[in-house]
Amino acid sequence: MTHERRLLSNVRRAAHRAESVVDLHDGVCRAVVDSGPDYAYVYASGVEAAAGIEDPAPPETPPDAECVETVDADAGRERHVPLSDGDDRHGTLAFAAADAVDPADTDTLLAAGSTVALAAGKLANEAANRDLDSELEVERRQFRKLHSIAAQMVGCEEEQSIYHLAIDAAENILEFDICGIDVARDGHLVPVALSTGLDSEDSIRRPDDAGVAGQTYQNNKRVIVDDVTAVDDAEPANEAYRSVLSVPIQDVGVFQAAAEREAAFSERDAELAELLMSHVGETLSRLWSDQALRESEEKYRTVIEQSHDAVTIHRDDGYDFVNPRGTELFGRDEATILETDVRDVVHPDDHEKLTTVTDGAAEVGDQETFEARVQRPDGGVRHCEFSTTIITYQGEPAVLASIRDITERKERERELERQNERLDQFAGVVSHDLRSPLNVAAGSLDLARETGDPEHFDRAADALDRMNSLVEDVLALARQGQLVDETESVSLADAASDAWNSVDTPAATINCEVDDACVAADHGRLLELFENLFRNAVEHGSTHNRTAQQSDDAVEHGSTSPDSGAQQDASGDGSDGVTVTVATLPDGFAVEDDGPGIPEDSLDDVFERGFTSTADGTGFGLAIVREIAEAHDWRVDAVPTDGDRGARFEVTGARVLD
Amino acid sequence: MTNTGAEVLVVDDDEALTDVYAAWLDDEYDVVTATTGSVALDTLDTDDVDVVLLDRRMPGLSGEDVLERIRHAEYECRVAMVTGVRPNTDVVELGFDEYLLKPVDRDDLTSTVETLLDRSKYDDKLQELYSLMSKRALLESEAEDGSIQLDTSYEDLVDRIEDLRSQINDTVTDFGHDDFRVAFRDLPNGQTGSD
Repeated sequence: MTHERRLLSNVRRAAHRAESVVDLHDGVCRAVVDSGPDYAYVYASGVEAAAGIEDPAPPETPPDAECVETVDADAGRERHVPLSDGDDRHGTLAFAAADAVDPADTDTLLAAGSTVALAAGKLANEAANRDLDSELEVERRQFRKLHSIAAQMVGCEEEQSIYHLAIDAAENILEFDICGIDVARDGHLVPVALSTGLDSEDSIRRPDDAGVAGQTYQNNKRVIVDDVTAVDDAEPANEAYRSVLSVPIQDVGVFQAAAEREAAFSERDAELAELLMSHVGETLSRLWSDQALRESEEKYRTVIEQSHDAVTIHRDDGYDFVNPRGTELFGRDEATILETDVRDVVHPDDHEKLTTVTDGAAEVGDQETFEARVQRPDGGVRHCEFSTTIITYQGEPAVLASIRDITERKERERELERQNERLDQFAGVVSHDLRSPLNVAAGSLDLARETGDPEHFDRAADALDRMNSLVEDVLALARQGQLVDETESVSLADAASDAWNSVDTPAATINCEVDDACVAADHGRLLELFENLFRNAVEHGSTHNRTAQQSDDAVEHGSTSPDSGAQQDASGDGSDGVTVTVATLPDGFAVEDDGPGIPEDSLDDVFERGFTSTADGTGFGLAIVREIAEAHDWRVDAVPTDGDRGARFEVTGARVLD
Repeated sequence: MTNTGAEVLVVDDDEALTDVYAAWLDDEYDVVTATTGSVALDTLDTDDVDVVLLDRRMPGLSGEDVLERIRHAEYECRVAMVTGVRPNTDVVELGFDEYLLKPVDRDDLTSTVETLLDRSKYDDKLQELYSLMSKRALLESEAEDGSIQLDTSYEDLVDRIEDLRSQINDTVTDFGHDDFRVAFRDLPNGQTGSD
């Protein structure tokens, strides 16, 4: 076996064993040295591998692919064998050789060269395939990471976290060191997130149609700039930046990455950035629509729950919904209301006003407003204004009701009515009651002037006195009209006896049957109430019978002073004295006398202002009594007595304290 | 002044006022007074009263009750309400001839009595016409003050006046020319209670 044969055999073995091109070159050099030559080396663009020699110096021109050359090199005589596979020239194998080549061995050496070239080609192919695989692997890994980022974004509840996540991903997954996100606001692109490699001074707010960023945003199309110095309107934020990648985030803004070298961004970078930004865009729009939904839900909840009005939804068989104000108004908790019939909540007298959905007459959209009373389990009644609309609720017609508590308004209205009534009364006094005495005074003076008869002067003076009493009484009535704000516990016995002492009662007797009972009252006004009832009893309390009284009083009047006619009459005859009895009632008290009493058909009229059966009364006393009672939220009635004599007044609705 | 012999009944629960009116009128007329509605009706039964001056608001029988009974029993007398109550459209339903609002002075009172005595000489239709025209003037005056709103009762009143007028015009030939002029001489005007 010749050297060459052994060499071919060794080279083939090495080629077979080699796992890479570098490996191949080394193996081949060693195989050659193993088969005899002192040294061997492989060169292509330079020396690739060597064995048995430190620093080989290959010639400028390698041998032709078809021939084996023997060359005198610096290290000595060398054989040069082309490593070629057909036209595919891989390099040259050189090894030490003492003699010129035997032409018979040329083919063997060419065959060895061809073997190496084939092996190199195969190994290079394999390596290339391996590279491609690993690149694909990188790409897959990036996609996976981007997807996991996208999943993380979905969990974000704030816009800013999404931007930060996107920038983190761009830095760590796409390996963009300098990048940032700008968001369009008010015609500008405003930086919202930066990578750590981006100086915040380089990130400034700019008009949303300026530069590469503006162009990207306006056209909604990515831009790759390989060299910013070649682009007129690039306006890089930092002069050091050479290449820029700009990717739109649909309707939101732009993502930009920059690098200090030219052409730093490939199409693939751009695609990945786009993928990332499409996640950002989608996540943002989902977040915003969620936010809008949450806001509208919150608005709805606030409106309904904080509403000053009760809001309910009901059908004829009961409630489907009630807001917190409704539970308050109805005096029941939510669970109870949802099991309650509408008719249990609304006062029976108002049931016919309720909006119903069963009769078929009601159509969705129908609206009604009416007033009805709500009754609470504790017996409390609230006056309410209902505004109802027929709606479709959970697929069925139902009544949406907004219910406003107008109890206070009603009370104010009633108070206003009372005040108006009183104003009418005052107007009545001025226009009516004062007219007669005025007429008397003027007419009498006229007559007095004409005749000089003192009778006319007296009559004029009397008329003026009466006018004075009327004015006093009007003032008292006005005062009593004001509602009682604060009450105290007032002893009925004390109040009655104090009042009795201030009324001129020489011949009358009081009989107090009230023990220690007290009422919650305004002390002064309770006293005044008693005084007026007592005065009424004393002034009407002569022992004349009913039928005689009117004409008698009228006759008496002419000769006695207006204020004391009845009393003087009474005091003139001790047996004439009236007895007044004060007694308690379960919710108030009664004042009764044994005088002639009140005709039954007048019982309701006696409290009317101006009602008097005596000619000298102003008719205000009992009107004042009623005013005081009503100001306390009490009620006063003239009630029939058991016998055929006596007047009885009952004050009820008061809180009696023992 | 001479007493005409006509009888005037003054009804008011304020006795002092009846005294004043009586003092004003008793030179010319026989004056009786009453301080309640029932006494007034008693007097109408016993006396031949020509003119009643009637208060509207009185305890017991009111002036309106008395007026209704006067008209129902067809006493031959003219009635003037003399009252502190401002008239409302409900006066259309009341059968008075004149309406005076207190306070009244002596001239008002005497001229009203005089007018009513004159009017008793006219026939029923003419008296009714006077009564209605008095009410119309009263209501118009109150409406002008803004105290009341004229309603359908006022319109009915105007219709009735027109109706009566045309009936009277039909029989105007029955009147002498002078009589007719006399009849309309003192048509109710401003003296009917505006103040």
